[in-house]
Amino acid sequence: MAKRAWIQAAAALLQNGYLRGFGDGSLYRGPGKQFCVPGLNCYSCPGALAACPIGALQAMAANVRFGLSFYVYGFLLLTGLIGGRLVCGFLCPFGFIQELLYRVPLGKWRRPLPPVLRRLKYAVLLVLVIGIPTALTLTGGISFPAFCQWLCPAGTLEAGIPVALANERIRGALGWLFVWKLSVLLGLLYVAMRLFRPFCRVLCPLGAIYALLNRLSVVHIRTESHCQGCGACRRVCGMEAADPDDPECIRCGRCVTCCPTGARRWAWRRGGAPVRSGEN
Amino acid sequence: MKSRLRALLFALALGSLLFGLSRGEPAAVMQKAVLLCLECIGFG
Repeated sequence: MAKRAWIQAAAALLQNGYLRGFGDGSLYRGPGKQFCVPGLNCYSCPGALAACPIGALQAMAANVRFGLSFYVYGFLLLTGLIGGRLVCGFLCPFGFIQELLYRVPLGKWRRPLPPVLRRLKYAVLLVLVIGIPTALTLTGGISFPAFCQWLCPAGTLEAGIPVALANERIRGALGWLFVWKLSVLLGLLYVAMRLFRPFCRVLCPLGAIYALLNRLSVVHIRTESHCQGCGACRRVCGMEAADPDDPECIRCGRCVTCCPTGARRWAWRRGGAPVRSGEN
Repeated sequence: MKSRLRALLFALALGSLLFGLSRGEPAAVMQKAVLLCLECIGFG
């Protein structure tokens, strides 16, 4: 297994290290839950040791005392400025699960994803994470985390299924909404076997936030001036990123490893533009 | 230009984070995160 996969596995385990919860369906209630993890990891997962930033944004929007969460937005902005979508490539448990599924030997869909699908994640962020929860709180004082309730497959996989398995009362009370969410999850897991990280590319609102900061992040991948434009980097990129500063780049480092001339390398960005934007 | 924008955003991020901490937002996050989120599990 590649070094990055070990890091992804370790990150997933560290974020979900409350093992007792998986046995009895209880949740960790310690001080770690004050803090957000950088990736998408449901705080109702029985193993979760910290809070999900997207869940926290919606919950804070419904909080009459605070409304806008400076704490969570500040954390996300800071994380994105440090690494952009580096979090997606190394620390997100749901991204890791999709990558594992992509290893299943099933025919892969190699056609480029239409740009409109790649932009859908920004609409998910604006409508389901920010718009609807904020509007309903302001107009009727109703707490409605639309993304968690209607879409989030990480919540179904990491929280819904384990909690339902461990708790008979909850299992008995599940209804149409669970069926809907389970269908979304199963559909996505199937697509993930054929398309590289479909949720991250099309729907993830957290990826959308970090994507906006990819061009500014301090940690990035640089194309050196001796790039010969062979296109090897573009061919190995599962995210179809046009260059390492592209909003789609998750900083997985595959292009760094595959570059035959060593023209791609990890770098710290201090000034403005990179040395050269090469072929990819 | 890009580095100035980055510096400005870093300052904004740190300022927001500290302001959020000062008004006790982490406790509100925790209040939600320690309870079972019925929406997350698809209860309804």
